[in-house]
Amino acid sequence: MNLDEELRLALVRREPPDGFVDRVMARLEHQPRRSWVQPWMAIAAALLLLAGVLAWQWREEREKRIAAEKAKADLLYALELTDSQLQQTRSKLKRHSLGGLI
Amino acid sequence: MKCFILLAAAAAAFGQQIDLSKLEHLASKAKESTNVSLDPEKLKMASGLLGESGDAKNLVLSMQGVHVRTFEFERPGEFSSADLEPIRSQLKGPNWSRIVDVKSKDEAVEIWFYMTNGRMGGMTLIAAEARELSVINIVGALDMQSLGQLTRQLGLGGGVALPGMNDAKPRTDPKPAPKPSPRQQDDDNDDFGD
Repeated sequence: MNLDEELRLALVRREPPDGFVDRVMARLEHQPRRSWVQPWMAIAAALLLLAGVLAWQWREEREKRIAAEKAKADLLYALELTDSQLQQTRSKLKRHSLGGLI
Repeated sequence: MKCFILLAAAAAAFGQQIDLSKLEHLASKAKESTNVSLDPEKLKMASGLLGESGDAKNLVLSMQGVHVRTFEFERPGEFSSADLEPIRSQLKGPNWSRIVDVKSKDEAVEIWFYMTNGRMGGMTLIAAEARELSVINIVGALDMQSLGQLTRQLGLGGGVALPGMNDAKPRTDPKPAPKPSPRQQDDDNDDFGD
């Protein structure tokens, strides 16, 4: 028998024996899960992500609040200074008032 | 559309806003200096915390800018009238009018109003003493009456308008400036102590 004939006989299609599919499926059902990702890990990861988002949001709000407080303090200072200067100017104008112009 | 409105508002505020950075060279000579610059965004942030009165909040929102520079010097003569020329040159525009010019031996106060169509659009106050200089620029349609109303509502002062200009209720005991310093008599009468 030459090589070609041997290869043809080796590669001919053969039907599996009876019960082969059932035996394979049965073995698959009993095989343990090989995935290393446990359900609790997924929940923990989701909680960590949520905590990170909340922390970032809290920090953003805090920074906005600080900026607003500084802006308010600056505004109050500016207005108080303006009022004080106007008070003093009014006093000066009253001292230098000319014949009831004021 | 929003961009266009912002640009239009910026253009409108351009004339009323004074560039106070021209005074920055005095900071190196001052023992203490203050720089306050509030643009519309910061004013909006500040107004959000003025919850005690809706009027105060609305008045602040009507302002487009508040800019303050104050300097306190160790000795008299650290600054002169020439240092204020870059500021006064900006007040030479057609819409600016000096309504108060009070000078004494070692003090000078100038108050300028920006007027368009008979309405006030801004104010600049220059107060110079022997060892202190304050320049305040307020941009916005805030007249003296509203300014007095605002300071009263915020509990800052009695609200003082200039005589003859919608006088607000006067205080009997004027509050000192936020950063008072002892005054010194000086014999010079030109450059604030030179």
